[in-house]
Amino acid sequence: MNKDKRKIWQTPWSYKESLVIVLGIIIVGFSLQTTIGGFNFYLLSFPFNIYIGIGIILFSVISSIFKRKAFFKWLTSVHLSVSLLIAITLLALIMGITRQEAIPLNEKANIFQLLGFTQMTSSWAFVLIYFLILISLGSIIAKRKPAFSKKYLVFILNHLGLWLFLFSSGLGYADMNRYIMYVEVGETEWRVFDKEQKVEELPIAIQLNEFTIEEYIPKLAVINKKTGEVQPTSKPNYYQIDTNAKEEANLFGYKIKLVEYIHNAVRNSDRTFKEVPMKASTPAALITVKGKTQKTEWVSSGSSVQFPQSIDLDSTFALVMTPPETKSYISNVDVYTKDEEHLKGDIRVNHPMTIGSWKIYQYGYDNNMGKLSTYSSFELVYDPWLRLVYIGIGMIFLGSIFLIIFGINYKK
Amino acid sequence: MTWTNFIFFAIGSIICWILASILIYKQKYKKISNILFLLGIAILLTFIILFWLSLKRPPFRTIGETRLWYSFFITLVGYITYKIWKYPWLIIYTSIVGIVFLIINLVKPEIHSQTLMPALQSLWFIPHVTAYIISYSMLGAATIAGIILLRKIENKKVDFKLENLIDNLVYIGFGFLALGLLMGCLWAKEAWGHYWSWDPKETWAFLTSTAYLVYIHSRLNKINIKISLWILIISLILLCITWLGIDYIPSAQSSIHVY
Repeated sequence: MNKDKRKIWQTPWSYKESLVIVLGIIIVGFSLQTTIGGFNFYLLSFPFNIYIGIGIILFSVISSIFKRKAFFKWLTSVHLSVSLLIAITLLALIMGITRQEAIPLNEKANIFQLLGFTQMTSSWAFVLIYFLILISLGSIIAKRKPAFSKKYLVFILNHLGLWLFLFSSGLGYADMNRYIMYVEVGETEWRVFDKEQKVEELPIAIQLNEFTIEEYIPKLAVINKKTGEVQPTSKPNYYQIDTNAKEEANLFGYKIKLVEYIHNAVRNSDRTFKEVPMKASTPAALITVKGKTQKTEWVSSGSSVQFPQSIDLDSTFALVMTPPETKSYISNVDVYTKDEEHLKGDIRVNHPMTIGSWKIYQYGYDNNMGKLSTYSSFELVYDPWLRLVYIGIGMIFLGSIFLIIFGINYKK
Repeated sequence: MTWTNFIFFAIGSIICWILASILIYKQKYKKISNILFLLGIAILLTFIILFWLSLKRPPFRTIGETRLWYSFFITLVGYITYKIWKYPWLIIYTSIVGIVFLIINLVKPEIHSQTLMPALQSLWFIPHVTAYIISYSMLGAATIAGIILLRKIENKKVDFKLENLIDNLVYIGFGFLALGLLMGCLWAKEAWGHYWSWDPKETWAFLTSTAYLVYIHSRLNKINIKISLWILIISLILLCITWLGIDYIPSAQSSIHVY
């Protein structure tokens, strides 16, 4: 036996001790979970998140002063980093294979629910590991001597960026508020529903001037008239109407050819259609279908106020038009705040409106009414920590680009 | 240009890559092999461009379409790495992976519509998916190299150059992985109101990145490289589940990323 071989718990600590300690923390987390239930992130709301933040930063500074002590050496060691990364990966893995949902009331919780597997991000094990990562990462950043080198630049961008991101997204979560507001066309609204569906009044008002929906050109399909199933049932086949198509297309054995397409159509009294640009209109197409016989008729998907129209192919099958898919929906609004700010513009998916620490998103509309929807709904998100999150994201973004450019230094 | 024309392009690329792989170890035909390999990539790129033009939207939406890009990028990455590091097996292995994905697309093309729902109509769409696919190609190549190194270690051989290649590929691949993830965050904030919502695909993307971070950090000190290489292999398995397997995980059926 080698006499110099280090025993477990003899400093400096290595992988064995780190893994044991991290495992111990997870076990503590699970025990807390089963005895006192999940961790309430809203306990961390302002100003407590600030206190904890200052505490972590102070701790990191202290640990950088005592960096030669065995404990702080270990706290900033690769051994602990790897162990923590393994732990968070495993916890996320459990989360990835367990459906995340609240435990239903009046139901006895099973073992996985008791351990917090079904609400992983608010489980004690997850939260404790999260805080330990913040502390260890903070100490690692504080310990490292700044230098004008590629290596330090990549290190600080990625590690400080990650720390800022983790810190502000986790501790800032409690300060974030999300509300849903429903506004009728032509009206002004400032009342919203919060997470618990309770009505609240906000210091923001939205006036909805106009709401418009654009739709894609719909598809054609052959269905069984009795069951309504799209044919062939094993692999439903759809034909995307193409207004430029010159040739016949094949759909479930039928040859179909587009004669005329009207995007905003209204039915005449005789099963034909004419173009009328109004909200109640429906897409309609004049199609020549060749099967055993040939016919040229109108087919339409219908809207909330117009019945759909199909083409009978034989006693079993019919050609139908699918309801058009939504391309975009746009709300033209005026937004006012209590501080007498006023913004005017369009809000649509992927294009929210920013006003102070608020962002206003297009949320939805009356799906049953489609283009005839009389209201539009918005999600209002208040997140005072967003700037810090973006700084973190920006730093990691740059750090990643440098990682790609530099790679790892070539070892001889 | 539609999936029906795909077979001609796919067969062209496949023949080029097979020939290139056969000729790569013959000193005399090395140049021809190189040209054939690049020709295969060019044929595939031609299809992608024509397909894009006819779809009138970027072909990034369905799994079938992303496989197209994967075949393209893995062979491209394979070629560039081969040029830098001079390992002929890179050509062969990336050819095999590229061909496998082309064949899957031939057998199971997964034809989808031209329509793009409002949430996907974003400037972030193309860079987000491209960064991921490049990253997957790099990390796939790194794992292949890792398996080769594991075999060498079994045979008591040392290859520091290969160790460095693997680390480099992982660093670069992880860089792209992080970019893809961050662009996803920024996009999510614009589209859904929050940059991170622990959607099942997000959870899996998160744990895939942390798994690669385990690899990267485990290489910083003197841990047995065999353990690191196994971490690399496990990470790729997690990555594949994130990319292709999410649709089959029962707990993830509510994910906004299931198409």
